[in-house]
Amino acid sequence: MTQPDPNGDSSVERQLALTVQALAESEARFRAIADSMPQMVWSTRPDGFHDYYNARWYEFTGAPEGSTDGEGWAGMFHPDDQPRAFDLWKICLETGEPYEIEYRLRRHDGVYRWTLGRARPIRNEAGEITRWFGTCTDIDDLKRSDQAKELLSQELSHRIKNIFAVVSALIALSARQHPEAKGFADAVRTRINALARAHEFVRPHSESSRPTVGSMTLHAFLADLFKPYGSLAGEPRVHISGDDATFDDQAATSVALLFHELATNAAKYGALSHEAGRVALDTRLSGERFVLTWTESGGPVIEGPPERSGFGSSLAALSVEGQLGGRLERNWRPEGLQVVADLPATALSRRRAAQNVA
Amino acid sequence: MRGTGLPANRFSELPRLQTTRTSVMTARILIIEDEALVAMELRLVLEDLGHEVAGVVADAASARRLVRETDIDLALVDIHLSDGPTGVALGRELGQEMGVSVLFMTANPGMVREGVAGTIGVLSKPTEERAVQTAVDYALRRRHGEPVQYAPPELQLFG
Repeated sequence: MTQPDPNGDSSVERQLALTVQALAESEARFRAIADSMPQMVWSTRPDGFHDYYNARWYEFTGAPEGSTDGEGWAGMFHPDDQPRAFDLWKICLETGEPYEIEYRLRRHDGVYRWTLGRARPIRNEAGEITRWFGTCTDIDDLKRSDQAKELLSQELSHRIKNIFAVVSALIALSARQHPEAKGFADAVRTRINALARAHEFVRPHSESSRPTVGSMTLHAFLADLFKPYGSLAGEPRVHISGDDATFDDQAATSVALLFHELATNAAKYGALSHEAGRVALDTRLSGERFVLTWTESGGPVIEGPPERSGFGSSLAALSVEGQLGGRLERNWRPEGLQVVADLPATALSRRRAAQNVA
Repeated sequence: MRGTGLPANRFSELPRLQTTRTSVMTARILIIEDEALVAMELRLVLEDLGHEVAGVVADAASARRLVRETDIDLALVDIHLSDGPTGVALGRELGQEMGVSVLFMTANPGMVREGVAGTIGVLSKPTEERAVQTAVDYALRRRHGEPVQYAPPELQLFG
């Protein structure tokens, strides 16, 4: 202020007093809100220097008031989480991006509890950050129940896969009593093995439960299923192209049976019965439909449709038309069989599709 | 030793299937598997191929004891055993420290997706006899330093 107005003194003072009073009220209101929150609340200067914590923070950590100002906060977290928290916090201070992290915070009794830390910057009219406001929320119970659920679902998944192995072994052992049934037993076993393989690739119900979601796709499963039909050099003879997709446990059985039957048939009578034979499998999402086209070539010349269709063909038809709600079409072309499975786009993940609509 | 509960001779009267012998060498094989039926089926398949099954054990401690007591060329190791998911560490130890060739056989191949040092690879269960036969043959060829052109397609190799 350069030249105080001699006549305006009292009004400026009055203004100032009102402002100070309003500020004090505002501050008291803020503290009342902040201290009544179940969460820990904190605030920092633009450079990240902590200068405020609410009552809940001191109550939870048992730290003496003021002792966690500045960078003292970092020591309250689990040593294994500190570098991660510090690095992220530094990045957020530089970029102004919201801060969000899960770390373990030491409670007053010395027990580390999983905590969700979040912070948002406050900006002035010029867009400069003037403050950061943050919260810490105790999510330890939630985290523990998630971990227990995760363990349980892993355990169940292991058991399910193991049951396939036991059933398969049981069939093989039983067939030893009846050598005349070997062909039958082998056919059943390979079908069961295909089912087991499909369940390896079923998309988990919770996204977080498996880190390898990227490889849990239809194409990855099919490549695995067709591995035994590769050339001597281990090159695949079924070439998969087009749009990839994920599939759920409801669709797994049908997908496995359909392509198991197509591949075993091709190996017995079709393209895969000749070393030079090949299959092109194209999976294409077009609008509301997901169309899978299996095209054999390089095998024996096809004279026409077979006189009777086997149980394998019935299984394939049942899978596509009964379970997946699609259409199955076979074209007996002289150069090789072509099979088109035309499915509703949602057929492979019906539960997910239903959830998205709801 | 803790076995799988099924006496080996229970099935000895079962007719042996005529299997084409493509294995050029036979070996002493240890089956480490806690599902009795799966172990028995595997044992019969290996014996059909002319191999000697030196033992069937269901947990890691029994496996270590047996390997110390007798010569084992190849161990087929499940990952989930009767004492928990101890197969991975066991396989690594057998391969790296005890001179045994190791093939994992598991219904959960995802558990060893990253590979296990000192072991050859993993077969997914359930699997077909032919896959077991070719994978075992491949492992034995490698053990004896014989040329191996191609690994069987069902066998996922490590390293």
